[in-house]
Amino acid sequence: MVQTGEVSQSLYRIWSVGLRVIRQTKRDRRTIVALIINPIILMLLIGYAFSGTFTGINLGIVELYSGPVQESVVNHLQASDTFSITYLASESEARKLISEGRIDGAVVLGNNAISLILDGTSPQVAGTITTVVQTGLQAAAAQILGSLPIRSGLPAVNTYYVYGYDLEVKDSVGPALLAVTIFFFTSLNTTIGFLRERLQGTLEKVLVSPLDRIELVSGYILAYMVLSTAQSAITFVILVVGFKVPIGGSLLAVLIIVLLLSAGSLSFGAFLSNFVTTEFQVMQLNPVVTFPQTILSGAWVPIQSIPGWLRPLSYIFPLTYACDALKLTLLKGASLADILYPDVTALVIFFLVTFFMATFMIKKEIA
Amino acid sequence: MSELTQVPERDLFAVIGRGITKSFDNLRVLQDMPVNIPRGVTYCLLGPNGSGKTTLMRVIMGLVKLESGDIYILDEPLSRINIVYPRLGYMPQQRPLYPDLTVLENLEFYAGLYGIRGQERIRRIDEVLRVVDLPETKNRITGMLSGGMYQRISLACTLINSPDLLLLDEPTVGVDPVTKQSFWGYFRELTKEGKTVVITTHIMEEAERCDMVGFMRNGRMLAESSPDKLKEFAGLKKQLRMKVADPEGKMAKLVGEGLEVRIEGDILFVDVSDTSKMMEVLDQVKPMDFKVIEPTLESAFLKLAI
Repeated sequence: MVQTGEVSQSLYRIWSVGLRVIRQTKRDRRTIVALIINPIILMLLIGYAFSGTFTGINLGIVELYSGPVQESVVNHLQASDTFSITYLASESEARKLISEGRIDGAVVLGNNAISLILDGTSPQVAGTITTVVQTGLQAAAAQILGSLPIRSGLPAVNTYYVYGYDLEVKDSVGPALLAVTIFFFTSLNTTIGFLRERLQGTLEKVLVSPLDRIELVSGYILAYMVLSTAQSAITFVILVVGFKVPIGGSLLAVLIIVLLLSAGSLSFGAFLSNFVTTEFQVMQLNPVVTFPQTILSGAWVPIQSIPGWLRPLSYIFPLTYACDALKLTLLKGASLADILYPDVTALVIFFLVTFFMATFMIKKEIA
Repeated sequence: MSELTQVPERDLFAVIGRGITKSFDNLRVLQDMPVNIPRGVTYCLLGPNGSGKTTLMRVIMGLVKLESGDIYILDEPLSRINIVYPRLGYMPQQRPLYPDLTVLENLEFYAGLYGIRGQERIRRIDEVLRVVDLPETKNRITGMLSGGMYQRISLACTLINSPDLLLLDEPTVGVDPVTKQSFWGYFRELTKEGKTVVITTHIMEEAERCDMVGFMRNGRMLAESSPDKLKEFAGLKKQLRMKVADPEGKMAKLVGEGLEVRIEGDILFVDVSDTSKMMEVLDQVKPMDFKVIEPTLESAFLKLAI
């Protein structure tokens, strides 16, 4: 009985903090407008303005028929340092691996036709594969055709997208944009929120009350999760209605990713606030923390186009997993079970670590 | 075991501490300091800026980690300060209210932290607003309030949980004389209810109004007592301020009798121990004009601080 009472008291305190933060935000009209406008501007700017070169694209090769032309194409693909090649047994295996995100595309070499099976969600990667196969064919033609009696020996190239349509860049950037918007703006909210609390006397006053540090951080997270869910919903509607991004996966999975990423980013922001003493410093620190993540997370450029020596960084950034999870659910129709590992697991770890650090630092700073 | 565990009347004190020591970056801010704050009094920590008043207050609330020493707050050791929090009211020196919220929203927030809800919350909020005489400000944005009103609302928020021990860090800074006056009225009311009010200040007149004063300087507790006792303790006497025709001659005579005399132009200042001595001196000097100067806390402080 006593314990139930304590839990309900604790929840009531968390609720009090959360309600207060929402009331504060509600009165800050500029912030509310920014919540809506920012993702739209970002989407317009970044969605249309990207291209890059690639290395380490995972390409599957299915050799159904081995003739001189086919050999020449394979040699050409192997010679290119753009790809890391896996040999597969059948076209259906290739399709399966693409849908699981394990390879980015496959070349099926038949007698009369070469099929390109491409991942529709990464238009830039798909484009690169198409280009290299075409040049390979041209090279083969130049090399072989002279010695062959019949010109019609050159197979035709057919392109298939696993998801049935040719996505534009903004489509694949869209889900990532959702993740970036959440990460960028929510972490900023708590950094400044906690900084203000410390500059005012409110943090001290609050700490000399039955509210403990875990409840304080939880209250903030609760409030901003409501706000970031609202923001995500807006971004989501813009993606679907405005940019006509096809939605494949479960909305529940999307919501869970959004909430996990917000919770982690919010704790992370609260943690960062311990290293700043003015709002000016927040503005200086924020890009240092967020830019590398947004650039290396695979949000704008596929991870395959990031140089190998930088890639380990990509894999420690939580945003990488959030982007990946959102791309998989929104574009590939993955279910929650499909993204449980590594994406959801990574986001849960991110949240737990930052939450611990945030509460620990408040304690250390004061006591 | 510390000496405090043995003190039988420990529960008579709102705060009692021994050997309180704290450093920041190798600088001793509090040096082996005692503190004795009886329950149900107004207690003033008095000292110049940087004497450690705020640090002591924060130590008492567990906001600053103690280096060494022993403190009991409301009969609980500092290590169990968490269970005392529901009975504490703290008003920090920096602004403790959320400027973008209304007065009511601030009060509701602080009420929420103490688990006060529903009808009880409405009743408490009305009550504390009545105490600070500002029931009509409920829906005003806190950041738009005047300095005096802001401080009164801060006090209202501090009272929301009916604390047994109030710790107010410079509560009257930037407050107009009328509000200041009413604050002392509130403090009196609170102590009447058996609550303990601790304030910090560097203003002597304020300290003079408290039941108890703790004199602090350079992180040391010079003395702790009532203002009157402190003056006595400092050996301060009443002073006669006399305008005389022949100051040098009169002075020599008084000094010859072993009195302490100071001269400023044609004015003599003579320390007198009691009324009969005062009459004696007046009779002897026959001044053109005179005035009796009561010893001030300030002079006591200056004397004790040397």
